[in-house]
Amino acid sequence: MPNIKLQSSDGEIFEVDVEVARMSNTLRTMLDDLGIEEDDGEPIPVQNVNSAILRKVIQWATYHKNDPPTPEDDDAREKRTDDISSWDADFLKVDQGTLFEIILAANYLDIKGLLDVTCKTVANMIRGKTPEEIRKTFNIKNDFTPQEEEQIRRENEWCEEK
Amino acid sequence: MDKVPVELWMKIFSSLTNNDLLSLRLVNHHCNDIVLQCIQPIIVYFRYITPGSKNFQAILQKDESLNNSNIHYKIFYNHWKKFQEFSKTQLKTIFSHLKSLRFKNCLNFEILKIGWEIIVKTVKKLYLNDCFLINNNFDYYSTEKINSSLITTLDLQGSRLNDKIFYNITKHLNRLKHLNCANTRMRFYFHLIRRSYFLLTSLNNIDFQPVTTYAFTYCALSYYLNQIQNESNSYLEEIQIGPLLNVENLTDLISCSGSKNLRKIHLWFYEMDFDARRQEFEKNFSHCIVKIIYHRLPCDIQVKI
Repeated sequence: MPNIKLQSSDGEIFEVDVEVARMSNTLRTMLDDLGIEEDDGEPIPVQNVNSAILRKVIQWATYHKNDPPTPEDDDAREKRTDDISSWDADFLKVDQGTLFEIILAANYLDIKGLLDVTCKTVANMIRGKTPEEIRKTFNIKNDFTPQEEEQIRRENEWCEEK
Repeated sequence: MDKVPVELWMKIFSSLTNNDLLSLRLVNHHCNDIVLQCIQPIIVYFRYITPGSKNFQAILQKDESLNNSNIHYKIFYNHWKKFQEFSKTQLKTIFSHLKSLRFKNCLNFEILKIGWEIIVKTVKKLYLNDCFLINNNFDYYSTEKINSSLITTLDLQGSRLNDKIFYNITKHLNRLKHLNCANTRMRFYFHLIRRSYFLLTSLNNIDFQPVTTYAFTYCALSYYLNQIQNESNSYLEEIQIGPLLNVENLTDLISCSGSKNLRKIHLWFYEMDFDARRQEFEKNFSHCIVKIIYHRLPCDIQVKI
């Protein structure tokens, strides 16, 4: 398989299988528009992604390159969060900052499979937690006044599934 | 975390349960705002309101077809159960969380009790289905000054009304994009025919002796479309109409001043002559830039007033 070069925002160059690069819709469009089918010496800049994250993204895409295409609109599948493969779960055992960087990279590079699995991982970090636990998990400051909080609690009382 | 755009948070939140979303509402303002954006728009039904009823809230019914786990629906329904009444401010708050509102089998009396202004200023989609909106008080809707309507879809399917009510309902809806008058039965009053005569006669093929009120609907629609002038913000893109339209009527409808943004017309024809009529229209409008979509209307729902 022919390779191409990708250049991260901090200048590191990665040599990648074209088929792996084409898993990103952003890169696929770029390659098609520029008519690039194999390495022509010039690296393709991936401006919004640094080398540490790009390495992770390439690692994920390489592992998943033979996966069947992700269906566009499958609500039921998108709502499930218990279908993360053990490889993906291990792959995403990273610090929170890195996880969010991967989400942003997957979004920028338009890699649906990676975006789905990372979003589900964050959703699992929220699942079943109290508001205070969620704040602690994501280091969020509570900016509600007691009155505002009370108002939402009152609204929530009517909707809670007990 | 702050760098993650709202759309991505919405994607993350979309796989959470309602209870998780409720917890997130309490985390901070930002999370609460995102959760409220995540919630799917729903329709609240008001139905089976009996004529002369003084208390419309008493007949708000839970509709089994709705997704009952929806937060806004629950807030609405439980609030109603608890207090049995809403102030106008409460209604405004509740409606502001809804994107669609459906009235079914209502009279305009009940709708106006809620307040036309609140409705059109807070929801985007308004369904007035199988409602009886004919009332002697023609000024019902026009007494309220509406400056900023949010309504983009008005569905009058199955309702009975007259041209004046139709005119008063639609005149403030300056963002209207989708108008459904399929199976709407509209009376056309003579005084308004006179008033709109000059507008209507600018059309080539208007027929003032229609055989059913469906044709009156066409007259009212044409009148409405000619009312939309250049200075209006209205940009009607899609209408539904049927079933007694002929090729000439449709030609006129498309040439109305308010039709310049029309992209889709849904035509409803009776089952019995559907194929022949469709063929006739397809032959005549094969090069039309407006997309015409054909629907079958079962014969048994034809009702004449």
